[in-house]
Amino acid sequence: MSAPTQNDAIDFEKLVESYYSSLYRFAYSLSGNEADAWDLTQQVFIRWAEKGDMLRDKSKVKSWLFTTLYREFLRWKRKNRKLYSMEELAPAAEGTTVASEAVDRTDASVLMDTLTQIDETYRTPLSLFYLEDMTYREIADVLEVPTGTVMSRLSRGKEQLRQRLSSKNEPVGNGGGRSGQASKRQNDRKR
Amino acid sequence: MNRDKAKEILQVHPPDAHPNDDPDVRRAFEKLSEDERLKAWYEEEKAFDRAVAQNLKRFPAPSALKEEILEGANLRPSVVSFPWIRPAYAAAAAIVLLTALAWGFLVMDREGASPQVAGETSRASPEFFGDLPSFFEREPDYDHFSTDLAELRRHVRDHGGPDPADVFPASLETVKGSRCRVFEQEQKRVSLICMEEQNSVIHFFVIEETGPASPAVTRTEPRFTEMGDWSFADWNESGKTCVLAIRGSKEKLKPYFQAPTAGQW
Repeated sequence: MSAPTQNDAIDFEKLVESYYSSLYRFAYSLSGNEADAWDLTQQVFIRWAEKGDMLRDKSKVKSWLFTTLYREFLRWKRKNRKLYSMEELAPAAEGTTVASEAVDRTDASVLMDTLTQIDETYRTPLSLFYLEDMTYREIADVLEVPTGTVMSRLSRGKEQLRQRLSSKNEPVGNGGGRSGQASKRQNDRKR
Repeated sequence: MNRDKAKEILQVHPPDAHPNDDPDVRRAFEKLSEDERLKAWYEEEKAFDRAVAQNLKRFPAPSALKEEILEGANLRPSVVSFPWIRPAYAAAAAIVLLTALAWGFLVMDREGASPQVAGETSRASPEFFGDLPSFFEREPDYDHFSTDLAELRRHVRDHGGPDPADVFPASLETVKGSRCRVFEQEQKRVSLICMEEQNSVIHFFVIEETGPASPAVTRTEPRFTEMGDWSFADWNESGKTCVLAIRGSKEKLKPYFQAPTAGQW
């Protein structure tokens, strides 16, 4: 679906078709598991059904959807405060380098799992940067934080991602250890 | 602009982004053509970004999710149909509801409730009741918060909700306000005003015109229904359907309907 212009009416089915995958991936990167990513994504479309007609500028639908998902995630996190804990990250080493070829060889689920291990503060803008090709200004809009904050968080997030990728003991793409949990959960989920 | 500053800017631009109207960004991109080391760093950086982005986008989204969203929303973009309710839960809720309603009608007859009159059929639908417990559990978003009841009533009216002014129970006029919301259910606008009294939250729903009001009856008698932990009273007034909901037995609701104004119903 091409981006709607300001006054376009939004076809709900097309909206879902266009955005459910990317919203799901973003939700997964935030929550770290399929069940919650599923619910968060669904919740965004419920919100759209409730309030989407209040969005005057339809060209901002993408930003609205991702902002809503992020807010839903924050709400979900508050409700599940005791249950929600991501793995602690070791301090990032400066100047870590990872060859893009190594990333190319990495399984998508492994990479997604690696992303979910990054501090949430940095992971959220990083997810939008990589999954949605958003500029730092667009990310600032979605997360409702200053652009300078987004820039520094992106920079640190990338460093953490590199450090995570390079510190993996097994060869990249092996799929062992925690790696591959995402794909396992994908297969395990019965709906 | 020095190399570090340029890196800082270039690093946060998506792999295929082009220089934009920001002068700093433009300068950073210009510096690429002047600084070989920066250019080499940039190419490596963007190759990494591109690889990560392409790889992450291969992470699959379950197609069943799309189907569930579409089924749940029933392809009605601006209508809340509470799609989070799973079929099994909905079926159970329907059974409980039907039993409760059947029992309710029997009890009403025994208690000598007023007979049905023309126009009195404009009640809250079974689906509306069935969805409410789940609706409350999900901690819905509210549009406005205030302890001033008049402010909440104004807010829903000014935001497209059915005006509660002419249907607001007199017994609630002095209760402390809490929050409010306007939404749609079954293609009807609904105003929800929440109030607090004695550690209980009272939810008052006003659903827009549900059918022609009986010319002979301006307000029907409330019908009390218990469902799970919740109790509801619904009635029709001035062509609007009203629902009062509270957690607890219906005995907690009844005092709000005692000693009505003479001739009110």
